[in-house]
Amino acid sequence: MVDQIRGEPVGVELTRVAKSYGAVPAVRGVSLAIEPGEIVSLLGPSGCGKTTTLRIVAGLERPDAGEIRIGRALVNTLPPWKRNIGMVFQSYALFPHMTVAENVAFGLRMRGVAGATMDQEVAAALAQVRLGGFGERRPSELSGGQRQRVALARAIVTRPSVLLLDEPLAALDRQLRESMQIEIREIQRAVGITAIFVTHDQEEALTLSDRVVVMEDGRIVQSGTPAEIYERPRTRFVSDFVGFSNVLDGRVAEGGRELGTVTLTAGRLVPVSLAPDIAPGDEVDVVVRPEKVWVAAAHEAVPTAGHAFPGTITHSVYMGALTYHHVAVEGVGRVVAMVPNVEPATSGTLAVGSAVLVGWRPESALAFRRNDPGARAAS
Amino acid sequence: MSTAVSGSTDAVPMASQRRVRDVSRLMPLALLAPGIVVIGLGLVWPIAAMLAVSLQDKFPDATRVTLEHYGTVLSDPYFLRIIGRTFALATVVTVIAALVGYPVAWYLARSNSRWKHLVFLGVIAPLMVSIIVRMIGWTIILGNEGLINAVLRALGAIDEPLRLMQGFWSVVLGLVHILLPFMILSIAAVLGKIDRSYAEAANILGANPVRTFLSVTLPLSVQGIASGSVIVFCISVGVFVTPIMLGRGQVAVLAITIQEQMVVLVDWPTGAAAAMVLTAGTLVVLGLYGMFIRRHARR
Repeated sequence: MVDQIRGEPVGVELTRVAKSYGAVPAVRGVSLAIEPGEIVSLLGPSGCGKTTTLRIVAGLERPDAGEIRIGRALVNTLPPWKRNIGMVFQSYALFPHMTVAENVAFGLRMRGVAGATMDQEVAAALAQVRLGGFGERRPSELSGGQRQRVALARAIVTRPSVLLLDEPLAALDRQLRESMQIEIREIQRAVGITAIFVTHDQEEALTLSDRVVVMEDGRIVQSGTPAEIYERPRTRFVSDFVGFSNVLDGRVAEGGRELGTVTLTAGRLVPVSLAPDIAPGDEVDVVVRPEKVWVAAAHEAVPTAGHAFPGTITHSVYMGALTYHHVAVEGVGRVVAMVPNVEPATSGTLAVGSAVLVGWRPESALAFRRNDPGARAAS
Repeated sequence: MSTAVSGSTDAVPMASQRRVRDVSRLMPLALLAPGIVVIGLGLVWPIAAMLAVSLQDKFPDATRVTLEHYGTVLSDPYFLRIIGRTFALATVVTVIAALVGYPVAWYLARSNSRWKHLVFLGVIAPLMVSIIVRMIGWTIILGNEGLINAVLRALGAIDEPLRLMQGFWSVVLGLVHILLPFMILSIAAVLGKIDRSYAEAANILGANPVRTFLSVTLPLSVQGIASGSVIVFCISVGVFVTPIMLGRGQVAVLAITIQEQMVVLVDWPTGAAAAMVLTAGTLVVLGLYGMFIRRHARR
């Protein structure tokens, strides 16, 4: 049986879990250990198996193979109503024939909590999501954000061992999503609950999690802290999925150690960071994130030691807090650089058409072997 | 109706615009006309005529307007027994159809089985066969020399044939058979639209399948039960052929009595009054249904 100790977070462990729908594999051998109290996101494009994995933890799907443990208990054959789990559905799934208070009370009623105790706990849960006084409303009378919070209150009021969230913020507009991210995080910490959430939004995964698990094609391709996933993607897929990058193709000129050089197809030799298994002569894609690229007016001093390439700004996209400069660099190609607008963007030292120098630290440029999704960057 | 042109603020509307407006005004009317004519001629006019007849002391050759026929229908034990039986029959048929139909509707709405289409065909197939043919089918099964009695007799379970064919319950059986498709299709239509995440959410909140059904799925599908029940009830309350054929004259219902009053006893006003009572009963059920739907829609 699942540990029923209230308020005591438990771990979740998946061991070589697999699930197919007919002949179509959805999850192929996922192993993942989640620490008590940790908040982990499953990140990936649709069809990568993240939702199926979550539903297997919930007990809504039976795995074909593998083991699922919640706390120390093996729960493979335990139906969802005995798992003591809380879940927020993408559609929220608030019962439309019940009031907000009845929705929140549902899980308590199923556990035999009734009367004044139940009312108190419902009120406390609604207060926690800042919806005190909304108890008598119907879900249809609430806004999207309010429904989301009711779903969250309903999921945590029973003090579940694990909280599961399936794309919890996908239906909300951007501003609301950002404030809900913070709110979910705070509630998760306050309740001290182990949480797993599924998302296809890299920003959400980075903001909300202690650990990000990137999935592709039914498998885990990388698991790590948000910074590890973002700064040290292990594969080209992970790199592409967690943010925009400049991609430059070339051939390794100098390797065999952590830092090396790549001769770009466009001509220039650039410094990069290499995985141990990439050797001179290998065809690679060099991936550089826009914020790792510095831009300086040609007459200014170079900010850091190392390479600097002359180029011309062809196009600028002003975003308020920052500006994306598209720079045509001779022998490299088009490089997008993100520049925070420390000085007013109107001051105009980096105008379209101006000659500039661009560069990056060698460790910011990751070389991945081309056409090899398993290629590893330096770590 | 004419929003397409009403936005025009030209000081002098052109002739062509006026024509467009005229057409756009007449169009809905033209489309509604056939329906209005059919409903008017087929429903409103006969009911109005029946109401008029029921208020005359005799028909034809009325001399005064009177409520005495209503008095007869609503106080005579003979009529009261028939009214009671008619509404009891319709109620029993509705309840049984709902109980029997719900699981089938569930199967149609939720199953992924490849037999599902066959079951669906089986559900609607009876609608393709004339009521008379189906009733004769039941006669063959239930009759004194019918299938059930023949089997029981061959097995030595009975000596005398069971009289399966003349009671209230054989009529109930026949009506449930006829009307079940309406109930099943009404419920299945609603069940099919209920998002499965509701049941999953209930499961995760600790409700086992029985509690999930009772506290989530059933309340969410009650609208399908209600509309199916209204159809079944309103048809059952006015049935004529089935009680005659399966009741062997022992199960008198209002429709039969009305026909007897008018055609056999040639007492049109009393028959018309009985018909108005039947209509009023049906309208009450429809009114309750309307109230229910309005309350439900507010959620």
